[in-house]
Amino acid sequence: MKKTKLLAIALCAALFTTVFAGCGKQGGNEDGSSQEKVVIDFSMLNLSGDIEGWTAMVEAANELLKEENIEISISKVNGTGWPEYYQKVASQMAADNSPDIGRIAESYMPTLIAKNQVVDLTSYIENDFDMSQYYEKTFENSAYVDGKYYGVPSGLNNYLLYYNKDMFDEAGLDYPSADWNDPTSFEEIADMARTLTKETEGGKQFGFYTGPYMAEIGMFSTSLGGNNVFDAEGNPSINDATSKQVYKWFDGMLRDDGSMPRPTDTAVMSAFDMFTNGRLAMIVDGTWWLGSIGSIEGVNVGIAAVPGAEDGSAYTSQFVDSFVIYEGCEHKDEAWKAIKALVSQEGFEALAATGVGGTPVHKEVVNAVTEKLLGENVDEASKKVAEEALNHTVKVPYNEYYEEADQKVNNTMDEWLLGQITSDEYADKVQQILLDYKAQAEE
Amino acid sequence: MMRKKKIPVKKLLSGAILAVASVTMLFPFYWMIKTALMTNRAALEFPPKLVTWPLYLGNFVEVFGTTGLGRAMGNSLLIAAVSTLGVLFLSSLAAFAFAKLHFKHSGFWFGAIFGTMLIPSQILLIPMYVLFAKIHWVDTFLPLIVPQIMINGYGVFLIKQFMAGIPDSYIEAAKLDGLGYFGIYRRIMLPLCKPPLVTLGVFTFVGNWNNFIGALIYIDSEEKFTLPLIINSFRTEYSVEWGLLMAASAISVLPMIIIYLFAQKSFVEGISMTGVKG
Amino acid sequence: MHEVKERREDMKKNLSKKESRWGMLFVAPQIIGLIFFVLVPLASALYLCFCEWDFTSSPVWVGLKNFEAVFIFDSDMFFKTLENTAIFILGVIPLTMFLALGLALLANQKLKFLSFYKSALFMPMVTSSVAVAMVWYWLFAPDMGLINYLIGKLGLEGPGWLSDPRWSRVAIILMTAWLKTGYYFIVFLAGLKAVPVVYYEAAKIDGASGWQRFRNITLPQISPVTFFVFVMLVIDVFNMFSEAYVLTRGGPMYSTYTLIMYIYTQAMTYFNLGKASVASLILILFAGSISALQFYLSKRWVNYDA
Repeated sequence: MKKTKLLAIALCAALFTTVFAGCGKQGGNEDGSSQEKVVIDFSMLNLSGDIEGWTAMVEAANELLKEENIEISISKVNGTGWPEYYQKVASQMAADNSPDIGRIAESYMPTLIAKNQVVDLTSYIENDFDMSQYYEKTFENSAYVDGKYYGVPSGLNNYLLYYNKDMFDEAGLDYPSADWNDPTSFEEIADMARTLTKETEGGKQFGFYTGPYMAEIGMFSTSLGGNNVFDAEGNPSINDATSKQVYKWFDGMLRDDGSMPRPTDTAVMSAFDMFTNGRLAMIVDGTWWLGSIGSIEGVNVGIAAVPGAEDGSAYTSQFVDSFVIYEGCEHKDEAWKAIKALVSQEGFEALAATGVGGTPVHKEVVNAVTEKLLGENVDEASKKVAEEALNHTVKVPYNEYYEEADQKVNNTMDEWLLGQITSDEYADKVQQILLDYKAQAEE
Repeated sequence: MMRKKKIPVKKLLSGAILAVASVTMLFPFYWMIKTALMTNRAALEFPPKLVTWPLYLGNFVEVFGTTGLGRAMGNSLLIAAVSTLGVLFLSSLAAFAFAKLHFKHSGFWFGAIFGTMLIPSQILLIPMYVLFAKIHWVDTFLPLIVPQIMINGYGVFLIKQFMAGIPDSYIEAAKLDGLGYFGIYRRIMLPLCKPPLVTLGVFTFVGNWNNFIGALIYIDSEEKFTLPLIINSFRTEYSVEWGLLMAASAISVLPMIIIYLFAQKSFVEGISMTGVKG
Repeated sequence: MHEVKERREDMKKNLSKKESRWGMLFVAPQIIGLIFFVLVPLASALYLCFCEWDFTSSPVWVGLKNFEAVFIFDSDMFFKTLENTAIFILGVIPLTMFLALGLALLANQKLKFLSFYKSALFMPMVTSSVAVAMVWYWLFAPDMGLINYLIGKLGLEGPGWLSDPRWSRVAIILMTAWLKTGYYFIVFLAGLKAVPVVYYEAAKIDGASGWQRFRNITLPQISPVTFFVFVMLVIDVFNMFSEAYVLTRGGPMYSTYTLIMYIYTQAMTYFNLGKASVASLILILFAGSISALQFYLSKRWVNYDA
């Protein structure tokens, strides 16, 4: 026993030294070549479903960059989502170890911009970019602040109304409207949801779901002619008349009719999982599900415009992920060229072929994606709805304190859902939370 | 009056209670394996059934086919093994000193080492990362191994408590036999401390094997990825691929079960003290 | 005579010097580790209590702004975490100690299938916490969970569990106790195994009953281990995070929101290291005083066999 212990310690020391020997980070440039090749470190969130898409895009981009002697090298970040990606990148920046470029979700842009963690790209875009090939409106997302651009869109996601055709047929109801300019009204949705809610053998079947969160309230409120969470000056306005109307609509379904599952009910099995398992008739959710819809089995899916005002249009929130250059980058010009190559037509085509990344913002490539993702599973009318959506998008009003306020707002939601306060009172509470955070941010 | 026959009822009852407790403890494990053997769709069926048939092997096939899985397991094994050996050695050594030796300010130092357990790891994470970056230890396994070996409040505390219960007379006797302090440590204290050593060893190994956040922050290169990093990538941006995730978790659990079964034999069944009694 | 006495005293001094030296040598690695891997980062973390940092430039001194943010701005969240911690301490610790010690006592006999029981009780430690959280979710789900289903069979209506602020705490306490029981069962069992069998034999010969043996031999003999479990459980409760986070995210209405969740969210999600450091300071002081109290009282009831 003693000899083995000594042996173990010796082994330990040996392993220790080998591990020690294999350390040290490689520099950014490859040396030895006569011309200086610049390697751009692209930090990428590595999730199982997406990796091939982005790798394909990078390969296409590298083809274009060969003549400029630039190469994009991927650094994978294996996390469960954007929070871990941001943790990793922020840690690296704190230690002067920053990656050169990356792709990040829109919700993080305000923080990145406020903390000076990303490079201002405005002059590059004004002098070295052909905007005519892209949907310019999509560039006006949270990466665009005070007239300055801090990111280039890598893809767009928005909300659609997915519904279960068979359930509608069985109940003898007309399908929800496919016309963004004449959408199904809120009252009609509530009625449909009520009819489609019932007890079945496999548990309760619900009629409708969408998150009763600030972004959705804002989106619906806009279609009613109101503000999108904040007014034009950026002051919170979530307890104005139209927003309260939307909260009341949710209130009816959540508490009175029981036609909508509560957020706690969707903690482990998400609402979208309920939909694919035939337990939910309608769901307003993102285009990130298009691939799943295309391969769904057992549910006959239709796509409609999201609910809107009785006599108006419908609006859908857009979520635009961006390519950014991190502030610690030492080759900013080359990094810009790399991004340009990524968002080229070739880049987007390579990406679209895999169906990853949402709707591309390059005009030539848009239709390819919807076709590819939805395939045979969905009829032509539904595909058109998905494409038309791009003309009815509205920005999610992210700002510096949005995420933190949102967390608090959602945590207070139970008071309303448990019936302790009315939906109007809840709207007032949300407004107060936003005002408090705004005041604190301005200190 | 002396009872001659042992009433088996007590043993039967004990067995029954332990059996029930065991089943409840095993249930999540069973659930994990069961979900791993279902398609993603079946995994979300409601109400959840206790047994699903037929079994679906696709998840395991896909997980095994994942590039880098084997290598990640190797990396995790290396880190966990080296860390565990290091922790066992240095913590027990320090515990011996605190429990049985007298030196200046030993109470103070023990308090300080113990106190490290009260500090939330989250606030140390970034400052430590910056520190390690400055000495170029980033993207190596060193930050994942060295700190816990060099300072381990849990290990020192656990072993010390056990060692404190060992009679001083053993040590006196050993000194009379001419043993130096390291010899006493090696030949007397360690063998007597098998149970807490095994406990500490298993806890440390498992903790390292499952360490996700450390690996996320410190490791950049793909070939150095550890198992938790691979397991956590079985998600798409918006949903979890339950079947794959559970299959990967099941594979991850396997080596630890093997190790525990081996460690079991060292959970000495009754230590009979035949030494000097004070 | 003098010489002999002097030499003996010299020898004693040398011996104690020798003991001193070896003692310090043995703890030296831990002390080095303490300084470099704890005190140095801790110092920077505490410095950050008074700063704002955007990661790309140096931290900016802002005085007490972070304290204000935590105690005043986030006050309802923050004080709720303290309340929750107190409740969890009162709930989790007695329950876990009772279960762990109870099971260990049962397992400390010659039983069939004993190895199986020991392996099984150890399982939660190695199972993925995602799987554990999933299973507990299925158990506690209000409309369709197993527990309410069984309660329904008895003709009663089960509570809202995870959607009800009062019951969610009960659910978390039950889950945490269950999780920790496995760990501490092993620790207690190791402690029980170390009690010399001769003590029990002698007591039996003297006619002591089972309960008397337990009270007068077992408890005192395992008191160091019991103390360890007690102290560690307090620390565990302060650190309660992963499984609860997955199940309830700290809700509903912050009823299961722990201090560690607050620190984690501030540090890792919003990267407000200043606020996280302030909250950590509170946690360290709070947990530290409880531990100090425990150590102080331990002199009364912990029995070190010497």
